[in-house]
Amino acid sequence: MFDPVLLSDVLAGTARLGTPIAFAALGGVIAERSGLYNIGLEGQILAGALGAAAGSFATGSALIGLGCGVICGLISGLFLGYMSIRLRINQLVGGIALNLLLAGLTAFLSRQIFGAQAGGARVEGFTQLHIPLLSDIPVLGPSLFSQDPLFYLLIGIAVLAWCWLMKSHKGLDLRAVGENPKAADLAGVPVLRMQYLAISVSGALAALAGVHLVLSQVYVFAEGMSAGKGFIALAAIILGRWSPIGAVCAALFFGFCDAAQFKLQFSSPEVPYQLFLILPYIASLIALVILGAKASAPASVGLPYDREHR
Amino acid sequence: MTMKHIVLAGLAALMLAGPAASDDFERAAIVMPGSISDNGWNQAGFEGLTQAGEALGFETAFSESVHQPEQIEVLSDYARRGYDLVIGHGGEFQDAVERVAARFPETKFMVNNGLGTKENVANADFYFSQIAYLMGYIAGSMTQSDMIGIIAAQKFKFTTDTVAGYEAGAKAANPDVSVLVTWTGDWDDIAKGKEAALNQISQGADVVWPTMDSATLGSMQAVQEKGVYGIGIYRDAINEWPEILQSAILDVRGNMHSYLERAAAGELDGVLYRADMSNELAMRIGSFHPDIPVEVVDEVAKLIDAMKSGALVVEPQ
Amino acid sequence: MNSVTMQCRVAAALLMALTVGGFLILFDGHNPFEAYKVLFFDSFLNYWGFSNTLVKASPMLLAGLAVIIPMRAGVFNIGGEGQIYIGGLFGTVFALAVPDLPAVLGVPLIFLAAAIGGTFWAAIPAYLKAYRGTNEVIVTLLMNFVAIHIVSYAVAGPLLAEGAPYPYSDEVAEAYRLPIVMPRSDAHAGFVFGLAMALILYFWLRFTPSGFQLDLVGRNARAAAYAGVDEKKTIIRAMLIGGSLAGMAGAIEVIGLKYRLFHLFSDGYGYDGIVVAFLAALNPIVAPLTALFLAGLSAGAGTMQRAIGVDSSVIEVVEGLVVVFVAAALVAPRNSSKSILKNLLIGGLFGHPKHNKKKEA
Repeated sequence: MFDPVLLSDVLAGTARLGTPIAFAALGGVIAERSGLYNIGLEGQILAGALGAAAGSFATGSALIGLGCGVICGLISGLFLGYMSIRLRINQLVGGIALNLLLAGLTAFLSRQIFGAQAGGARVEGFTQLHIPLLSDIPVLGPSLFSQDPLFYLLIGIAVLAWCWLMKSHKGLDLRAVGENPKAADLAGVPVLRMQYLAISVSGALAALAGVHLVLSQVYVFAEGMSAGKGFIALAAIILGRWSPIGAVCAALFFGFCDAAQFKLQFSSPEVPYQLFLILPYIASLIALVILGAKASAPASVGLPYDREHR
Repeated sequence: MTMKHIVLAGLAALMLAGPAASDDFERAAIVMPGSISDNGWNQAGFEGLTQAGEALGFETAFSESVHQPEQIEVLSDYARRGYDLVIGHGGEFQDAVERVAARFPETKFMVNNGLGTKENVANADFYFSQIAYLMGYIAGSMTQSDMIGIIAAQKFKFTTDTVAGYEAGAKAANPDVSVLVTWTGDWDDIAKGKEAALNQISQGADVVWPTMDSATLGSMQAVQEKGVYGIGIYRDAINEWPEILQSAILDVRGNMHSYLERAAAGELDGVLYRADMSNELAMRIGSFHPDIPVEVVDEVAKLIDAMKSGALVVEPQ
Repeated sequence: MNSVTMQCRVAAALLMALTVGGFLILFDGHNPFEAYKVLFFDSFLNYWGFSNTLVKASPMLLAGLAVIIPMRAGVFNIGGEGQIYIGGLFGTVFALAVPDLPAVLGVPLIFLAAAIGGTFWAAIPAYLKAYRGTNEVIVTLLMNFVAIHIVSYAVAGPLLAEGAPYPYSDEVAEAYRLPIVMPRSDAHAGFVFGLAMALILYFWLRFTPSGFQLDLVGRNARAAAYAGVDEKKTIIRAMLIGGSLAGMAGAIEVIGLKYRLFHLFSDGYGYDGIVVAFLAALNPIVAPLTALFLAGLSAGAGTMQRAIGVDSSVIEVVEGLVVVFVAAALVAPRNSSKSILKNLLIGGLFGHPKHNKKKEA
């Protein structure tokens, strides 16, 4: 089990499978820190995926695809913000509705754009980036330092987000909005504006998950390709205790379980394969119980801030 | 959809356009579990019906992404609307079709990959293990690591027969070969398909056969990235992926065309219409990869003859 | 706000949603009026269409109730889907193991078995929440996935029917199948059962001490504690009730509709329950209506596709739009008094923050 090739494989798989979940989880953390639930991660992943595929398909450039995907994510985040903040729709229902909407919309648009060959239209994506020197390290090198550029982007954003959230003035403002919007408002923080920004960024980050799926993993758009990753991300947020780095680690942990699951299937072919499929979830549950993830969400998350009723 | 398919369908239509569509047969519908753009099973069913409809002159309708709870409702609806033939695309419809067929004795029903016929319920499937045997034989002959793999989504008759045939064929070619089997639990998750293939390849498999729907694309990407061989399904995949050794062309369209022709002539009975190697329209192998030595090609041809003559019977049936 | 204004708002919202959706339908190349006519008339005014609506509404109603009860206690049961699966499993196992009882005895016992299954599945998140404060959302969410795979294994392995072309179990005995309430259709008595449950729960919540306690814990945990209500026990009880309701939804699908246990037999009913619950403003008496509405929408969507040919992706968008607009309409306008209900609606997610605060107190 500690065969270096095996380990390297599993690590590479962890990075591959965990990155989309991590991006979505990061998005969720930013939103929830501002006091808004983003249950619509699943749909936003699809929006980013379609944007990336369409952009790359139209121009042949992966970077433009990335840009398109991010823009789609921003728009869908903004829409969710409008529903939650302005219309004060129950944030859970809003998220579920957004998922429905985007699932249908992306399927519809993909059929219009790609036609019947939707499942097979290949687009230009990102290729692996080998970091010089580091990628020569045994085991860790080929798996962690020869990944696609979006993986490095993820790590970078996660660290930046943590620093910003925890150490910067504006980050403190955001956290205040999520904990006690009344007090923040009185202190002069533009509560609603911060929430709109947060939820839009949240959408953009979730969309990056979709961008990764299309431009770094499979190079096509397929309907429903988010395959539940948006919901697993919700679990990662909680497991990671609403910290950007924690959530990313939790997401990578899910990726690890997913990657390991295939290896385990081989070593025990008589065991029903469904057992291996549930392994990631069981492992997470156990981790949850041991680590005791209490409900330490931002105190005012889910409650729309109402200025008139201060 | 390649030119080859269009030509084949057209030829089939011409060749088999014997009796004209009977006056009673006007409309047929197909109910599918997945999306029509999945590049696999569902798309094949959709195209099979619509193409046959155009060729043979009847109206067609389809319902996609119909899940378990909706099956009875959808099938009944078509029957009630007076469709002459209602097709359940996949063994998962067997039960629902039997139920609905009992209520609508005037309507004909068909279950693709079904397992159970009635007065007005027919089945159509493929002799999966037979063609899988051939694929296994080729894989077993071509592997240099003595390790090959097959990836499937769920365990039921279609997939377990395919796996069994593949293993039998591989062992026949190369008694030392090991066959890795991975169950992903998912037909469409492309990333999972890729992951499963990468896993098999890193275990040493140098020939990988993915048998899912959309997810197959991911597996083939892994095959291409790692520079090993693959095996195709449903279509002559070497046109899309140069790494393909051979393809098990389960021509759902062809198979459907055969029985739709009968239906149009009013001759569809409540029996099993199984396509095997002797029915080339429905089941055949594709193009050989240039790396495959002549001896293997010849041997495969001999095996096919043996299958057609009945000398070689592959289990399970 | 009075209920007439509310009805007008909901009607206006529906109209707006359909208008937006109508453009999409037009873009897809079909006549929106034709499409909507089919959607509404076929789901509610057509005999067969309504029977399909009723079929779908049964599990949705119970799943909705399964969300409402825990929600009223401030606990978010997102695990309805998993509870449906395990409930269906337990019910099927019992039905197949003991096939010879008379219906009068067998059916209630099957429901009991299913309720036990659902309760068991809800117990884990319930205890974790009550005694360790573990967020129930993540636990129930993860357990949903586990449940689906457990059933997948069961029907492909130990329960697999002889010669089945797909993973499913044997049929349950004829005696155990729920009676059909609309002749020659598939509409079974499951909805009636759901109605009965809704009524019972409504009266329980409003008129009994234990029901009142549940509400109190949900609205104001501190006040409840001062009143001597055991918060932990109440939360657990609420989750277990929710689990049993969802479990019974699973049983209904098996002995009411499919007569077998199938792989993937619930197509997200557990999650539909969340929408049903919120559209009903967490009122059990209203849940049957919202369940019928959602079910009609879903059933009608399929008819729209079959009769007119509207692409199924467009229909998904329309469904989403309807949910968004109607949910928006149900939100009370800003200057109405802060009703307890409003707080429940918008505050009771992912464990009410007030609960968290209480832990530190």
